[in-house]
Amino acid sequence: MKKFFIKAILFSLLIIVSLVAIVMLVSPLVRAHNDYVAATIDKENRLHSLPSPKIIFVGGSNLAFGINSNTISKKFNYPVVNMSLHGGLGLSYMLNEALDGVKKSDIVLLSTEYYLDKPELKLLTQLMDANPNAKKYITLKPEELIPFYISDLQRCITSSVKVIGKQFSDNIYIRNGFTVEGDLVSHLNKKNVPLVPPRLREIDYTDDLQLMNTFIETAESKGATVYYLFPTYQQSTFTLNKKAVNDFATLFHKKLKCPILNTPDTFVYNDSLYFNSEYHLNKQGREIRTQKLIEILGKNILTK
Amino acid sequence: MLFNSLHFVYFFIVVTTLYFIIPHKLRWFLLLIASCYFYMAFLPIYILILGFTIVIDYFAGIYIELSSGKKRKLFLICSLVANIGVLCIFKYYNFLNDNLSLLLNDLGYVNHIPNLSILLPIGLSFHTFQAMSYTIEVYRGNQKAERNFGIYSLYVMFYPQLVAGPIERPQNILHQFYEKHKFSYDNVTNGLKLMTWGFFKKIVISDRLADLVNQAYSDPHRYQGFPLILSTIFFAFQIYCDFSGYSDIAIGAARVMGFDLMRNFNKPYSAKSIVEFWQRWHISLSTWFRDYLYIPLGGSRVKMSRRYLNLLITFLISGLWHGANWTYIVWGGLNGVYQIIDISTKKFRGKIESIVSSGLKPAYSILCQLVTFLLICTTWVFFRARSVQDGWYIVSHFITSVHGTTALYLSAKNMMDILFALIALFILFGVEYLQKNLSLVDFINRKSPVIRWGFYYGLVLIIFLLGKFEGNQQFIYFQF
Repeated sequence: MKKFFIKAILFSLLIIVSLVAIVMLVSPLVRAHNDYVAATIDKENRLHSLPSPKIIFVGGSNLAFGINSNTISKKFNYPVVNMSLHGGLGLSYMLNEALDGVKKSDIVLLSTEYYLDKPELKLLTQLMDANPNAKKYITLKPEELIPFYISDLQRCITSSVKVIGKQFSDNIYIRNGFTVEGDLVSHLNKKNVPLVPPRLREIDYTDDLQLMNTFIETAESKGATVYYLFPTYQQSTFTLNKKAVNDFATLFHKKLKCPILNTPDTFVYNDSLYFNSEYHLNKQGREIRTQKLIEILGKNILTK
Repeated sequence: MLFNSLHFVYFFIVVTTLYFIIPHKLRWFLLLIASCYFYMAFLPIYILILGFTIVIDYFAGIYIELSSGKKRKLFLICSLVANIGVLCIFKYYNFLNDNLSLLLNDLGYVNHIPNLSILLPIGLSFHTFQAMSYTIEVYRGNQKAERNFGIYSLYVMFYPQLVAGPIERPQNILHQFYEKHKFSYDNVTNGLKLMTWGFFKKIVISDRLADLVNQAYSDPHRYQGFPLILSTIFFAFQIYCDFSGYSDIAIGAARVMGFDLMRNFNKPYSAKSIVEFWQRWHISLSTWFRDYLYIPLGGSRVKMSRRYLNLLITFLISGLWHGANWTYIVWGGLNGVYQIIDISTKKFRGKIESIVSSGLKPAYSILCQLVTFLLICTTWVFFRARSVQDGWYIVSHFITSVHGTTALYLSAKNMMDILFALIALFILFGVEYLQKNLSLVDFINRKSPVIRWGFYYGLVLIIFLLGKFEGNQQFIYFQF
């Protein structure tokens, strides 16, 4: 038994030391400082430095790819910050991050994708590597801790592969692909990527609605106003998932404690206006949606 | 409780440690409690179903042994009816009722019998088959009826093989519960090594390929040609690594405590014929069907046409054993037909092989392996497809235009999974090729300490670096 324990301890130590060494040696080489998620640093700086009242967009990549904040800002004479980045960061992170900078008289426009889900751990590890400040907005359950550390370890490997791959690819997911307001523009002159409309999974939105309602109550207690907008959605995907989207809308109309400014089909456009995902508008689509959004905001909240 | 969960890691450490600490006479009790806990971690209420069949089979075994003549047979039938009855209610009732509704609809009638809203108890087909093998063996006189109710319960519930096998025979495992297993360095390390290999197959290969397979099979009509071929090949590797990985973990976990479970896989994709494939794939189930169905039907000692019919019946029932869906029946039927073709062309293929010059023999051998693998892949289509219609669509669109859909399938997001899975598959098949007829652990144990340590060190590192730990990755065979 003694022999087994000595060897087992030695083997475990060897593994632990190797894993730690990999993280320490590889991690600095693949720092995510200029990655897509590093844009959160610039967005957070802008959120905290802008005077109120301001417009804050909060959501996933449907907002990052698909609005022109500068046009909106000029139209209503309000400063705008687009905090949105990626749905995979999880609703909890998006809301916590935005709430930190919400002040009196701010207008918060919330627009989530339909696949609201648990955060992608790999993305969170990348985020925390790029933006250590993000830690305070992330809450992990105890059972997520070990998978999180393993994800962090694996990030070193996948990032190394990507670093090599990037030399041959035309990457749009970069920190400096954003405008000062926080809109992604690096994709605007790129060719559309062909898409297969994905089917929406069945998701239980109970926890997400609770998170959003808590966010709304807290933001309103700070003197801000929160509105919800259904996201943009590629026509063919919308048709494929019409029932699921309508169920989502009915549920949100019933349970969400803030006004909803549009219907799910408001920002549904022809497939040709989408870049590389059913939520990611291209240059033309982005402008069409922005004009529609201005119209909605003008009618419901702001005067031009 | 899933083998690939932290919950299991804690459970395994605690149970194994306690097993070696407590006195021998209490060990069966510990294992029984641990097995109940393991099973109840899925859905506690279903332990009652297990309890029901255990009680029936326990008494059936004793009465079979004590009685003679027709009574003996009657007790066996009681046991079989109870076990198959449980299977029919929980697994096949809704399937049969749905098909009855369809049939009656066609005839202009309405079926008023309601479906049952019940979940399928996890691993039901496995433990009922293990229980049935006990009463059959007692009836045949190959096994003495077990008098200790706790030990018999443990025979059915032994946690390493409770939910997905290997389906053990009483002659192999029952006596082991009475044996005193001292802490053995070799058993513990060999068991842990096998478990590591199983985790490698499951976490690194199977779970990486799962998303790629799901992408095409959840909505196959969006794809044509190459993506359908590729996702089917991926599924062939996924199911092999998932199920053989599970078996390795199960056999390894039992080995740590000194138990020997039967080998369930023997490099199935190296088979040169369909018959050989089934001698290497899910061995515990194949031999179960051979011993308790195929041979009693007459096996191969009858005239050829009857033998073919026996094969077809065996494989159709094997398909149904897997699941209450026409897809599994088609899968079983297809395997049965392939077996018949294999047997009927054996002489002809033998002649070809004898003509092939010795220099070309390795190439001929590889060709046979490739053809067997591709034939098996066509059967996997129906095993994985959601419906027979989907399966037919996939098979009939294997060779069509690849225009458009290949790029959609091989998106940048998938490339990392494909790359990692390919690296791991290269390691897997490389090791399987080198180990020849030895088991993996025996093969590695014959190497120098540096190679041994290096191999397992590399394996654990790969599991951590390339494994998929996100999401709740179930084992495919848990659903059966």
